[in-house]
Amino acid sequence: MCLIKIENVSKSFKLYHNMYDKVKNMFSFNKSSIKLHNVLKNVSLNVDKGETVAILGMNGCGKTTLLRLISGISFPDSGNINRNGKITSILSLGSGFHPDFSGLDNIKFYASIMGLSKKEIKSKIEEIVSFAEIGDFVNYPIKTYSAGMKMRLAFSTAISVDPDILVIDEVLAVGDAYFKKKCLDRFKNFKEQGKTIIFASHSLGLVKQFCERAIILNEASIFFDGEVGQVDDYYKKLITKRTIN
Amino acid sequence: MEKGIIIKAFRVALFDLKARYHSSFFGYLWTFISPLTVLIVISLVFGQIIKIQIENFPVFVMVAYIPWTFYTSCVHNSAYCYQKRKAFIKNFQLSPLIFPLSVAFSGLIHFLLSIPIILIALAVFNINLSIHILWLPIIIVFQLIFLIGISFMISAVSFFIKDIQEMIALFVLVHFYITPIFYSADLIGRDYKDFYFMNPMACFVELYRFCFLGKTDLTYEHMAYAVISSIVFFLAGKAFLLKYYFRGVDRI
Repeated sequence: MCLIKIENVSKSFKLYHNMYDKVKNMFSFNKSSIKLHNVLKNVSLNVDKGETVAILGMNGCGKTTLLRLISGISFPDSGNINRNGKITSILSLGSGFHPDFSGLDNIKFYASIMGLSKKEIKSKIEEIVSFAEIGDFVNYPIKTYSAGMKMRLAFSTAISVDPDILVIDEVLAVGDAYFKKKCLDRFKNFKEQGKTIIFASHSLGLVKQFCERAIILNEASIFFDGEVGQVDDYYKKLITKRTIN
Repeated sequence: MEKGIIIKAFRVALFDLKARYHSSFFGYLWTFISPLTVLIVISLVFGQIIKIQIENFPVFVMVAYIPWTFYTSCVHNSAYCYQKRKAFIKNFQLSPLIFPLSVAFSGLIHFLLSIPIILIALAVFNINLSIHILWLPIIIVFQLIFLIGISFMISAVSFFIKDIQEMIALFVLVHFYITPIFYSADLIGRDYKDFYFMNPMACFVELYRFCFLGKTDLTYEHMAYAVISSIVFFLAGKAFLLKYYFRGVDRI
């Protein structure tokens, strides 16, 4: 079953130097003078149920933009995206908490915005706190937390929603090795339940250990889409190509 | 609108209210302190010094000023409601309506909490409530609909114009003087009256006066206008926000 179907999706951003540029462009007829930065150009791909897909590529190749489009946070200029199923996206972490409120209050708020009912939140709160391993701190304001604790709390809250599709950007960089391993175990758990995971990463090792399919983005389009075994070759090809240019 | 959106917006509103009072010294008392201060100033300046000849002038002003703060809080807060919740709109798939809606809701909660002040003032000045008070819920509902529409519009514009907050501050200042808050709408000449009441807030303020004090200058046309304009603002604001949100969300 096809969970995500992306057809001919393009996304570009307008580049302005400053406010004057923007206003000038608003009133000028010559729209071609606006500089467009194409992040994705006619990208098509399907993701089936139960797949674990890695998205690779150099900095600025459109990984995060693609993930945003998939999760419905940002919207394409042209093309279609069809989604079947509940999506949870973990794109950037730690922010969105109110510093003066306790972890517990923040979790409740976070979860309710993500669409959990009061009852569901109550049943999950213990799981969230124990996964984040912040112990007694959960009753203290967020401003007393370290960056890692905030990130762990945000991560475990986001993951508790129980989605059909999990979209993750490279967010595990903040956690320590132990928490990273715990997260990976959780992802594996997800995978065993037949759920779909899409994640962006720079770590080839992690990708090979974890995914069956990899997509490499380059210059606004898909450079490679296939078995994870071939990813090394294509990655090297991409790097040599970039070096020559 | 979906029920889920309204519930979420309500939760955000409650969270915002809690956050506002959580770390402040006077907390909930601010709901009373700031309008009371303005009221005292207006009553002194216009009631005692300039001597406007209106019976029970402080109450006359208060009945209009408190609904006015409901309006100003919505207008000011909707200008940065997305900026404030950037972490959420950049991370989760959410309806664009939630955050502007929450602004209107938190304004509403505030307003409902300050209605007792009006009632106390009426008692202090020995003014008896008339049967017209029964209109109050209906007026509040339509003002809320109107303000939700305004919040939708302003929050949509806030994506594209960063100095919207300064513009709004200026606009609200001008709007305050063209709304019958510290003067009576009687003062407006017959020729200009219809033009004057094209300002929906003028209609609402007069409606509140009618409700609490039982006298008004409004005709049925003005009342119908208030109702229709609130629905128009709501629908137009919603359409506007839904149209421009897709482009706007990338700019924040």
